[in-house]
Amino acid sequence: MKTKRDKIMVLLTVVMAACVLGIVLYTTFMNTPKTEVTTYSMGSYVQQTVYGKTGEDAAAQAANAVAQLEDLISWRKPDSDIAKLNAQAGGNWVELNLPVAHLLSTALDVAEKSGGALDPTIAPLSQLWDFDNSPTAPPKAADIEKFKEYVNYKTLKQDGYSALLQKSGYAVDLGALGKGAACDEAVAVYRDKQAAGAIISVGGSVGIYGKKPGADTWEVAVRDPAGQGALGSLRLTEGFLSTSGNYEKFFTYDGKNYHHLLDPATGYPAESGLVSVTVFCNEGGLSDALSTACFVLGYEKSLPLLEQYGAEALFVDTRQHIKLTAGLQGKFTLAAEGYTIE
Amino acid sequence: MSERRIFRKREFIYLLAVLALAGTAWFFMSAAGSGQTAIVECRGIEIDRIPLGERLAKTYDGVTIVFEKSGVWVEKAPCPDKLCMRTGKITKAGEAAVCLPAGVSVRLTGGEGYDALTY
Repeated sequence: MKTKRDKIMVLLTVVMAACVLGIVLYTTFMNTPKTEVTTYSMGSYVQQTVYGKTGEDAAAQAANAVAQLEDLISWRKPDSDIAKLNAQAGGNWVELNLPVAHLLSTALDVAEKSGGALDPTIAPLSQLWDFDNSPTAPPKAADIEKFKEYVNYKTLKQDGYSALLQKSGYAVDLGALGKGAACDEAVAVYRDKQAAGAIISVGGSVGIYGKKPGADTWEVAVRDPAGQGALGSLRLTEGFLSTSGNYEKFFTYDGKNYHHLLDPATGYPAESGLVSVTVFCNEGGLSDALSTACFVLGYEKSLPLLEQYGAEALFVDTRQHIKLTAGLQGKFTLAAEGYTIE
Repeated sequence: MSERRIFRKREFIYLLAVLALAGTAWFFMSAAGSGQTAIVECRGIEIDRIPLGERLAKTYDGVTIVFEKSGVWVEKAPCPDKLCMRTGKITKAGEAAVCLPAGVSVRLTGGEGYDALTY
């Protein structure tokens, strides 16, 4: 029969074993090299944290991959595939590089399945509103009506690595997918370089690869749409996150807020009862496309769309109610005050 | 009559070992540090690194950043949209305030925080 002293000895032994294990784990994780790199691409702040011996090289190559993608998809760059496609509108088929072809294919697929809530031919309207140059007033209603007629993804045809805009006056803008796609490019580099784990933010899109040393999950904060700081955080493993919110780029004119998430059907900023949508799925370009489409569609219409892609989402509506799809329930921790999780 | 001891020899050795391990663990935890540091970067190049403590305001390429123990925020910026100022006070590792036109950013590292921010 064990005496009280024996029991104390057993307890002390357990404490010692826990201490030894803790120290061993701690020193192991502290020895995993960590590389943090900040760059600017796609008009955004790009922040990478890469773990592992290959981290420095992987981060440098990932930064290059993001910059190269921008060179291919930015309609502002005259040599980009998209600029060439727009220049040939109503004319000839244009050859596309692999990442552009893949992204255009994703954009067209989401456009079709969302009934045009996401439209890659939004360029005439987005250039009219010109949110990148801090506008102070909306365009004239007549101009919006006129330019809206030049937005229709059905005029954009793709055949493998070639694409054609069938009518002149139409133009492609992949800005709604670009940052998420940049995360895809970076994660491909991390995988190729066999990094232990890595996380990249390109603007508000996030790519997660591998394991974070010393943790089961990565913790990604979701911006509070109504205030400053974080709404809360999601604990996630590998995948991609993108958020579309009406707080990011907006101006106030005559007492009304105008944000940059345009509804292709109306030509005006979308009013779907949402202030923010965060989408989590297995591809960055897709998560970006879906977050835009879901913002335009609103909560109810978004659910079947997300289901088709096996994607998850966090919705915040104008009443400060938060709704999570099944796959994110239990992974979100609310930090901001004034919100209700439904 | 046998002498009554508080600890037996074996127990004493165990206690010493536990104390030694606790001391080692404390050393490692202290070495890791729990304070936060603000890293200021210009076009991706680190230009300043400030451990958070006393209130301090510094200007980098026209962007005035205030550092306090409780967090960091952009107080003044030359850009038209003021997105960096609207970010407000950042308080946790992984958060950042960015002035894209000026190419100046400040992020927090160290202590508890997030791995990334989606917005």
